Amino acid sequence: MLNLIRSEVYRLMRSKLYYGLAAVSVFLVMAAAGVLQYFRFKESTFRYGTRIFYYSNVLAMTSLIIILCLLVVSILTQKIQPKTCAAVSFGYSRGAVFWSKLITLSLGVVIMAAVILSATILSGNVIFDLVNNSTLSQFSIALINLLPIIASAFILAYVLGINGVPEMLNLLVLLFIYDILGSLIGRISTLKTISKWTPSSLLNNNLVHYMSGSAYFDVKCWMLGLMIIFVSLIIGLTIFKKKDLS
Amino acid sequence: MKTPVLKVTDLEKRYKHQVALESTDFELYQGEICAVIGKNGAGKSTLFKLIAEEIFPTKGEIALFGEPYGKYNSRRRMGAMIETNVFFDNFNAVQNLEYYRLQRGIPEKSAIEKVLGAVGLAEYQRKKFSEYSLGMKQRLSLSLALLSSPDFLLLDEPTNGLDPEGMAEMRQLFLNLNQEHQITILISSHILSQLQSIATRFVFLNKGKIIQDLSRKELLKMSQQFIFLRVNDAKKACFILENHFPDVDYKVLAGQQLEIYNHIEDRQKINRLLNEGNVDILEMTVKIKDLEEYFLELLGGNHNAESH
Repeated sequence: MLNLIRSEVYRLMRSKLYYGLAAVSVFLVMAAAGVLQYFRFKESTFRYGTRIFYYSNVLAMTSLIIILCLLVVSILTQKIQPKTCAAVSFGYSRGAVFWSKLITLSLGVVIMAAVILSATILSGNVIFDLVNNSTLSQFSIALINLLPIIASAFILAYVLGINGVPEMLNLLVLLFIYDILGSLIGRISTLKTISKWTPSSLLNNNLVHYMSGSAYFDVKCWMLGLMIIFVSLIIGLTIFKKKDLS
Repeated sequence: MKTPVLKVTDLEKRYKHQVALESTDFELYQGEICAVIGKNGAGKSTLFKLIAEEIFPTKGEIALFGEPYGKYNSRRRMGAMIETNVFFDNFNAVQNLEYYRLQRGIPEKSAIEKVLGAVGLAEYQRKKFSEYSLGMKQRLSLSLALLSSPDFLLLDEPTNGLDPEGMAEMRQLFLNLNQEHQITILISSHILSQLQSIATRFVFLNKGKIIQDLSRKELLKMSQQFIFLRVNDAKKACFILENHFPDVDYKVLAGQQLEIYNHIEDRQKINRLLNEGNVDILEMTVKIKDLEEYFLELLGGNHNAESH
């Protein structure tokens, strides 16, 4: 398995898309800070040139983060079947192929996320004045709540990708589960309680509490995130192990 | 008793209601070059993919080096060339093979140069895979199959896209690998003349079934010798032949031509009898059917049924 991971790391490290995505993301977060700063100086009544608002963009743009995850996933899962065939015919189990790609991608996503978050926090600290001491700790708590849900979206994207689901369909499934589902269920009065457990509702709640300065560790985010991860992995791995590769 | 390199027992693959391969049994021993021959859709690729474990059988067993299906150590002794799209378009040959060298845990980096040299890609090693011709892609696939110094090569249509010179080079390479390194080879191709000169065994596949499994010796025996005759009156010639040789096996072709499949040793007598019967012989030669003809005949039916 270590050899499989080494080869996948070799591939990921030579992916222009990977570096491109990281660079564009860093540029965007810095540009957002620049835009906020520009309007803060241009219009005295502009209320959004603050660190708290700037950080809130990260928490509010989950759809964008999910698309980013999907693009990273596609680096190692695009046209994957023939490559998997080569590994399997050499004697690797389908399970080993599945886990090695997931581990490599997770490493890639963690490194990319660390770079983007560092850029966000750094630019927020440098550009905006400190109004409230607790902003960073509030942001950290909100991020901890965001983490399992984004991780579950990443795992789900990976499971769909490695099982040959086309990228566009993969994106639609993710957007449905993480964005549309909550508001759909919320419209049905009898399902109101369940709608509070959908990803979009939990993320919305997280954002609201962060903005009001009352962010708290929400165990529901972790429960839902881990549940999606667990179910996705079990189903995805079972299908992948049993399917014909060509 | 010698353990076969590959043992296939009652192998079957079905896709819903379509049978791709059925009741397939055969064994392959060390040092053999076995040619799998069949038309498109005969089940060749299905058989190769099953052996490579890319797809699962509906029924039956495959054993590699005595180890049953699913045991992974034996698989590392196999080099497979089934598809060419196992490479990354934006990588060059060295980068593509480096990916697989790392994956396969091959310690020597020099292995890459060695295999690229063996398949004749050394001077194109820095060219991107997307810029490769089909023939170059085939060569790179072969180099991947050779990368881990296998004992058994599984080659599905390895000469596709190669020019005649390239085909001859590949044929020589397969022979060298087999003779110098005792590598067992299971190979399929549409270009039967290629296989005829290198294979030691021939497996004919049609509609998912093995219809004949012959050694080279048996094939030579079965790819018949025959007398080819061109005369001025084929009808009269047939009459004379049937009169003097009641068991004669022949076929009348267009243009007053005949093929006589037995009594080859009686060709002088045939010559004399036809002359005596006032049949002019315009051409009389002994010919041997090549594998291509034999194959077409095997898949097309029995010549006797058509001739009489």
